[in-house]
Amino acid sequence: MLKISGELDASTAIKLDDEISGALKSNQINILVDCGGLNYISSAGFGVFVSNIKDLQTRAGKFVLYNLSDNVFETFRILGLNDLLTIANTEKEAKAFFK
Amino acid sequence: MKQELKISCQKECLSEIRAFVNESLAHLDISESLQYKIVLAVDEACSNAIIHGHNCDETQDINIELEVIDNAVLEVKIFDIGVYSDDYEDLGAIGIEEHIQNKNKGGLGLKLIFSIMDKVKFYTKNKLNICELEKELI
Repeated sequence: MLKISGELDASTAIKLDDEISGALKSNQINILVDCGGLNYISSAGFGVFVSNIKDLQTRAGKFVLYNLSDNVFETFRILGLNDLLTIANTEKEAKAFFK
Repeated sequence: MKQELKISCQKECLSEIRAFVNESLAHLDISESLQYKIVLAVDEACSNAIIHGHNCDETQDINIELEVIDNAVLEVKIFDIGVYSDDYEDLGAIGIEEHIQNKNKGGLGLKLIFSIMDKVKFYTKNKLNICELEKELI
């Protein structure tokens, strides 16, 4: 599980990218992302998810994000990513997508 | 009143830009959601200027002007002297599926800017690149 907090922008997105790359290298293909502490995300943050979706899909894995604030969810919606990523309200709901 | 910010071309300065926009909008009677989106759009435009226009050269600056007209319309202008690729504006037209297939990390910022703001204009005047953004506030 990854926990994102604070502001995810062009200066901080590389850390998330490294964490996701590390997870993929260790064959973790179902990646749960707790966005409860995330209060801002820009395109650089979205780019981290977008650039990894194909690799996860190829390996039958996926991202499941949960605990998104209204503003963060709205930005996913603007980009159309809410239909391409799995987004849950709670950790329990999120984990159910991997059963 | 026009608010201005001159800032070095470093990604680490983006939080300062967001703080500047938030402070400039604080006195307005607009929803938190609208304010968040405006901050995001300005952040994206500045981020593009810093990263794509200036290759994060901290010796160079961008200038941001922000003005609210009659408490009804927000006008933002971002000035820089960077060099952009010819197809820079076309990136905004790429669909999200194509970004996924190409595993693109970038290119989503323009899509956000065009989705959020009412008017978006890029032009060059006297060798100065100008990005003009406009948003109705009511």
